[in-house]
Amino acid sequence: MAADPLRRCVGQLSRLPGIGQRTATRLAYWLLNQPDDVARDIGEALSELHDTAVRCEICHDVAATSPCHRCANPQRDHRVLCVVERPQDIGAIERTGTFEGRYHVLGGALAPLDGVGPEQLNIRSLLRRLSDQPVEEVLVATDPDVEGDATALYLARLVRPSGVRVTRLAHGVSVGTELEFADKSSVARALENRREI
Amino acid sequence: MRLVSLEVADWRNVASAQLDTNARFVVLHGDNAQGKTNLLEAVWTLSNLRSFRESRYQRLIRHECDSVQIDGMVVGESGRRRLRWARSAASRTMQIDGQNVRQLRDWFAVLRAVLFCPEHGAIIRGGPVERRSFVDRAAFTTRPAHLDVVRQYARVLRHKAALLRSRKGGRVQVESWNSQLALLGGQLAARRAAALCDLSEPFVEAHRAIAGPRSGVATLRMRGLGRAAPGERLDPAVVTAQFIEKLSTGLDDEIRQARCLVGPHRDDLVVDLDGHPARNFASQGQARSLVLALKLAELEAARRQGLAPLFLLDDLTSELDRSRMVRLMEVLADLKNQVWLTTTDPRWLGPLPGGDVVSYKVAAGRVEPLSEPPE
Repeated sequence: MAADPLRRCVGQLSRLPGIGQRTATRLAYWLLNQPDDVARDIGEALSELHDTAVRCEICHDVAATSPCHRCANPQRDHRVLCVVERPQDIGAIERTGTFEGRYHVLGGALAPLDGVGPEQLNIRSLLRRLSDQPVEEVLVATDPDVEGDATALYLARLVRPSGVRVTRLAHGVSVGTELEFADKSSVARALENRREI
Repeated sequence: MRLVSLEVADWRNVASAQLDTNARFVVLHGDNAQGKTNLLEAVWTLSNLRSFRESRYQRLIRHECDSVQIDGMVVGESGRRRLRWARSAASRTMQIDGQNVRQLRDWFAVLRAVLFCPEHGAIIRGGPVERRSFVDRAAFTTRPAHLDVVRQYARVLRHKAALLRSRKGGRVQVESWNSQLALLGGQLAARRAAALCDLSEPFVEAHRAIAGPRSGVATLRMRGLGRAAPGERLDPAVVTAQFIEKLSTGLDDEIRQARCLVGPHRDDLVVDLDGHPARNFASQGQARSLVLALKLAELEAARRQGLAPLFLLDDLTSELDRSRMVRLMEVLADLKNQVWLTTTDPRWLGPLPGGDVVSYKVAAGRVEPLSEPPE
């Protein structure tokens, strides 16, 4: 018996995180009511994802080529290396348009409770880059939680002996937030990270 | 603050109950295993977002039901606020005036409570875990931000313990967790010391009032990394520095034994009676007086911060003898807090101070008001 195409579509869509049965049904009917090239374009993009997306052999970002366009770009500053937990964190920093250095994706943060140690992260390749390239500063942009902080401290201990400067992304009150509305931990971080003017 | 009404649905053995509780004293009475403590537990759960007897929410839901709900109207510093707490397999709800709560501190700003129940005898006679959690709870009652520090410290500690157990973490890895542990541990110890400063004097007075003048002088001190002279506040940076020192001397031992050996998670609250640790010799009756004095001190410390948590007392009948009971009532008469009491025998409580009382009878999960205070 052939599967009901709509039900199959709803079933597959509801496998996505954050998508329940109801949203999946709405999306399926929406697709059905669009010109057929909309669903085809989406489907093609999805089915090619695993075949075309690769991990950059240098920075471990998700890209179309390896090395990725950022690692291959001679204009980017070799001297500063920004270390992030996930590929999507690169997007957050790139959108600011103020960082000209290069990136390194760790693939997570140290979390012994979940069995994540240095071997599970891209740390060996990071150290190799530091010895191969003229890096002067490692900017650690891991998350501001206990795992991200521990990872930053660990990297600092590993990297500092080689004479490379290690910095941590500052955390604090976000721009556009009035102090009285900022949450307590952000204000506490901002107080810790205060600087002279 | 005062909880002026309470409504529960499918909570424990109570299918549904509506209580009008706009009084200084709320008395729940009934025989054992009828549901009176369940109602007190509902008030505690509403104020703390967790039960004092059960960690799995499924057990809080009435047999063969899917969800549980507690509603309460609080009149307090910020006027009238309606709280709703609900749990089911699919969802958890926390609403203030119909709006979902995003920050727990918003919730705790509306309703807080201090609990005294028979199991709390363990604070005096049990292990250090119970005493540390009393100090942490008291610190939280006056300063809810303490909860964040406790949780973060516990999380770092669990990571470090897992790392040591795995025996795969070299010194550099352990030291990375130690740096954070030291920072958070310094804050934790300093906050506990501050809480102890707030509790110490009210504790001495409350104990004298409950146990009577001839029963000795009771005092509090911390033992371990966070120890401090009476009335001394600790500087978190100083404790952190001491902690770092201890961690680095103990590093090899910790790696060898695969255990976290130093830190404020091993500190203990020592309750002394006439200069000797009460844990070693206090009788059942002395222990109860001491626990009650700790709870009253917690209320007084909160009062000095401008807060008036509810005071929930479970099963007083079995807990206190006549003379302690009379003295407790005198102390309660001087408080401003709303007091909730459960008892098997309301006559035993005697007339409550001020006469501003509502009483409910609980039988087989059904709750009925008593118009006349029982003789």
